[in-house]
Amino acid sequence: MVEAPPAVEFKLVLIGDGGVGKTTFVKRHLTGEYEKRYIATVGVEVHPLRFSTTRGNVVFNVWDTAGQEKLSGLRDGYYIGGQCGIIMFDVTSRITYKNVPKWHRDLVRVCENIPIVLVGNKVDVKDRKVKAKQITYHRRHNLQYFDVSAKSNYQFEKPFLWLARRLSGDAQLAIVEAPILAPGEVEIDEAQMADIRKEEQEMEMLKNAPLPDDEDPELNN
Amino acid sequence: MVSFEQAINVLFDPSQPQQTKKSAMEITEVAKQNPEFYKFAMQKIIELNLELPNSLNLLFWYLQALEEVLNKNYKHFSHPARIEIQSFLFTVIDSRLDIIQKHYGILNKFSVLYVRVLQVDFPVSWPLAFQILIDRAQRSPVHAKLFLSVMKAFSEEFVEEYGYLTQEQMKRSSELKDAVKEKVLNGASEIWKVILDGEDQSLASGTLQVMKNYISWIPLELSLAFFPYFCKYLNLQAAQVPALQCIESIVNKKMDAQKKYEIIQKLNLITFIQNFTFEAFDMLSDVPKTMASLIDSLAENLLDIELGNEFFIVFNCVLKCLNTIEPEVSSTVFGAVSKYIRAIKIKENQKQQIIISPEELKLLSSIRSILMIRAKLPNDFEHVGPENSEEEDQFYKYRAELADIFKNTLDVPGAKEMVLDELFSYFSTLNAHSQVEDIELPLFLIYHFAEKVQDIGALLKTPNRYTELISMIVKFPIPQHRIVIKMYLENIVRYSAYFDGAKFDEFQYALKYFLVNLRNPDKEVKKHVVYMLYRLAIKNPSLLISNTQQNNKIGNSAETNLILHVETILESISEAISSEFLEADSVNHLYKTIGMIIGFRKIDPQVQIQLFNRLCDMIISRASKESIIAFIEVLSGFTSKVHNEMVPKLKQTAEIVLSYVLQSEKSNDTISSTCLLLQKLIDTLELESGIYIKTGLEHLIEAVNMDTLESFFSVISNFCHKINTGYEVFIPLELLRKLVIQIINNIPMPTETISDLAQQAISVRRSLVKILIVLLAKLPQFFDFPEILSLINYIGAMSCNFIESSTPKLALNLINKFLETIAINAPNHEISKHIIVTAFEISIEILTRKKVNSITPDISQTTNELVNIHKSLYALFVKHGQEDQLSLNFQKFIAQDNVRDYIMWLEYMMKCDQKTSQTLFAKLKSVLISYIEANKITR
Repeated sequence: MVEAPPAVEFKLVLIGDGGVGKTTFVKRHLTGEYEKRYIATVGVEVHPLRFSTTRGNVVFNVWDTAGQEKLSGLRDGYYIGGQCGIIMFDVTSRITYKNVPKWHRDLVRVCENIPIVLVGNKVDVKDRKVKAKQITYHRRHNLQYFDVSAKSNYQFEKPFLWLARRLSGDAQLAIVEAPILAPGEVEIDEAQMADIRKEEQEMEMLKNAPLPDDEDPELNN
Repeated sequence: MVSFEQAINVLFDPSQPQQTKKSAMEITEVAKQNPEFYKFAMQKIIELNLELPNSLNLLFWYLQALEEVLNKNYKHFSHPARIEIQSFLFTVIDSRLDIIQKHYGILNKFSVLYVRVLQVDFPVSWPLAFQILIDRAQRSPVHAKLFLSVMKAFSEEFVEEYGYLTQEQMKRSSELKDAVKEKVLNGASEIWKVILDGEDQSLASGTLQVMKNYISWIPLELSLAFFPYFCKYLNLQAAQVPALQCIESIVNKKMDAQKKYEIIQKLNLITFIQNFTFEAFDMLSDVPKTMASLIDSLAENLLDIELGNEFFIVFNCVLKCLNTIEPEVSSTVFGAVSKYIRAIKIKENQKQQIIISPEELKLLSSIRSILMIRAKLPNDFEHVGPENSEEEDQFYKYRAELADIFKNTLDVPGAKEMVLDELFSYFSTLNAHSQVEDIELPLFLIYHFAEKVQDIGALLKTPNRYTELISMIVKFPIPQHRIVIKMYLENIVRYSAYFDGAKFDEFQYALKYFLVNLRNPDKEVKKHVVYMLYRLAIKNPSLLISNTQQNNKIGNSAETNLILHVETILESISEAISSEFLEADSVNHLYKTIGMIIGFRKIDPQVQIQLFNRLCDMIISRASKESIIAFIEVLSGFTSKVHNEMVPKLKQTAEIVLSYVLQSEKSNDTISSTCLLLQKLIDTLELESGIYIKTGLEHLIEAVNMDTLESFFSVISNFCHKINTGYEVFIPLELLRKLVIQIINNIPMPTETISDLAQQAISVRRSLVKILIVLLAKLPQFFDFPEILSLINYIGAMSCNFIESSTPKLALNLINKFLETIAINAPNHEISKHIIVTAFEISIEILTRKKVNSITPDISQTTNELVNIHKSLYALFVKHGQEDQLSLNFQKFIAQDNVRDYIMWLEYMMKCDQKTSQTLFAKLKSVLISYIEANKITR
């Protein structure tokens, strides 16, 4: 019997403010249930997420860290040995986007030259507070950005695919078997999808617009 | 009981149970509270044996905890304690460098700790803070790394990007920067030079990374002195990106425009970028992108200076970047390109028109040409949208940006005509054998072109170059390629106004293309065609019902046949639904499309009846529980009552569809869709829908829950409002009462608004008040049941619960309506008495305890409702003031201790309510006071 080649494993650090949806996002993979109730993470929880790719199996050991200060335990201590990262904020909460630079700075102070994805969660919510044009941080710091919705599975695999490509050095790497996700709790309808696409397009349009000297004053409210 | 260090190790172990982690966290947190903790941590760090397992974890934790404590409290530490800490830092640097070497994260953690101390003590209490590092930086690479790491952490600490800075922090930041400029920069720059002159490439790269953060605020001359180093390191792969970023920082440094120009000249930057060859670099590396960013900054800065020749040279470099094959590089200069176009547009709009030079127009034309060329799809693309490969994804996003800039170039006079001519000439050269990407490009461009045309309909009425081009596109033999098909259909929808000018043949051609592709074997194409047909029906329904005239010659006489588009469409849709696999969304879209066409008000009634009957037959023939959505979609096209001749077929279909639904499991989806169907039946059948409403409500009422209650109540509300008379018999009052009792018994008053449960409760309670308001107006007999008193209490409590947003206002409104409809006519009835007392009680509660005033709009609305309640009460006094029972009610009310407060607040209300007569309140007040006086003795 031919043994399957061992999976390549990476430590992925998932960070961001409390309540942005980190645990929900990571639990969409395999384990199912979209958590309706918010149960704050204590310290850290590790979830191995397996992806079948054109370069074999890739396992991301996702270190889902506590966003809430009082439950954060070691904070950046968990980042030691991190090989890639996801910084998550909530597009319906301005403050969570304002805090992205702090999370990023703390991560790169512990992990040198790792690929990092910035992820805006909850794009299924109609009343979006952080608009595409306001999301500029990733442009200054060579991060990749994706809109996601843990609730509807929208673009769930995109951050992982991008990280897998960066880590493998293979820009053509693809996911050969879609990960088993829990069914979406909400569906993004055509109109909402059009809004999201519009937001994405707006963001792309503004991608190279001159960056403001300071953060958007609107976000300071 | 675990030891302290065991607790730290537990924290590092994610597999530990939550409770163990929480206990460990408590132990470590308590330790940090001890005022002597810093001593303990410093000692542990100095004594740590790095050979031990877990030593990295322990070291990290002690450093982290120490940094946290110092960050919070260092400025309150005594002088000896500060000296002790400074000497600890010094000891580590001189005696325990192995600690810093242990891990990159430890080095940075120590640097941050170092910065925490120096940002309080430097320069006054610790003048040598930087000098210690500078003196040692040449001793070893580790010392040099530490120096760089501290410099980097220092530059990051007072940057607004990492959080809002207080005035105090800003002031301290300026002081520190001044001190660094005065006391540190000389020494630091010497070290930077030594490193940049040396062999260690990693250190050199690190130095440049640090320097790029300093250039914006250190003296310009110092930065310029390093320029040769920046150039030198452009040849070293590991340092190219930071070297370019340093140059860009100089270009972006805030200074007088003329001075900046001189520096750009002095540094020969224009020649430098002119000589840069993108081809020499791996286009996927960060270097071309960073170079493009430098070119972009240079161009944007020169645009502010408004120079002639040099600007055009730089802009040629911009165009070179724009034209690169790599979208990431090309899009980096979008900023400069957009700024240039904006500048030209501003010139154009100036009151004193500034003439745009031929060079500028030529440049603009070059930009547009490049944009138009770069918008062409790579020839191996297969997918319509950005859902597939990263490459496709990236290109589609890039192209969307290109399109926006392209559209902006069209605002300059003469540009549109030029583009139309170019596209026309280009399109004229194409034929069925042309490459797919060549055909798609003009379709893409003309699609976006439309967004810059103000009144397309008017422009396309008379023949011109635009209409010629559209005509050519409409009749073009589009190849079977999903991307081109999509673009073609998008254009047909966008330019649907073109067909309004009696262009029967052309529309026939386009429509045929839609309908043929409903059978396209490619699932993606089919889905898109369905969606575009639906969009066409929304945008221009009259086009889809219009007739095509066909002139046939029979013998010597000519005969005109009318072919109804809608007939053909219905046939094709019917065929598509029956014979081919379509996704549920597409099927629904098709039903919606045909519903919109048939329901369109301009359609001939006879044709409408005939087609509607056929459509209903189609639904009946494949009736199942899923048919409800199809039926709803079809009925969505009708916004008012259908013709009488359509009623029998509509009723027949409704009966069949409902029978399937009512037999199926009552899931939330089923309940919601049934409610939606009932709503559509009310719109189209009006009173004749009554029987279905009754059956539907009776059937659903037992299954309705918190998620579906709102839809359920909406049916009743809509039915009562739409039908003027005769609706009463169809509302199952007894069942409805049971449901209301169930709600008031099971949905308690929410005390918070965050949890899902509370949100749901708030929503249900709001729905309840809304439906009760409707029932009171339309079916007052509903309230004739024993539990009415509990219901009034429930509503009364709701009106005081301000966390429920607008619900209190609605609840107050309902209480007022109770007063107006029930109490006013029979004040001594038990229910009326209860209503009156409740009205007073909630008034007291709101006015005395909640301290309502008219500051916020919500409160103001609530105040208005309270005012209305008092108007009703006053009307009641006037009408029944002499009756004994009413007096008793007042006595009951007045017996409450806080009535004086209440009167005081009434006075306050008089002041804040301008609209209501003060006399009203004065009268009300005097009535109340006289009652108080009269009852003094008895109390």
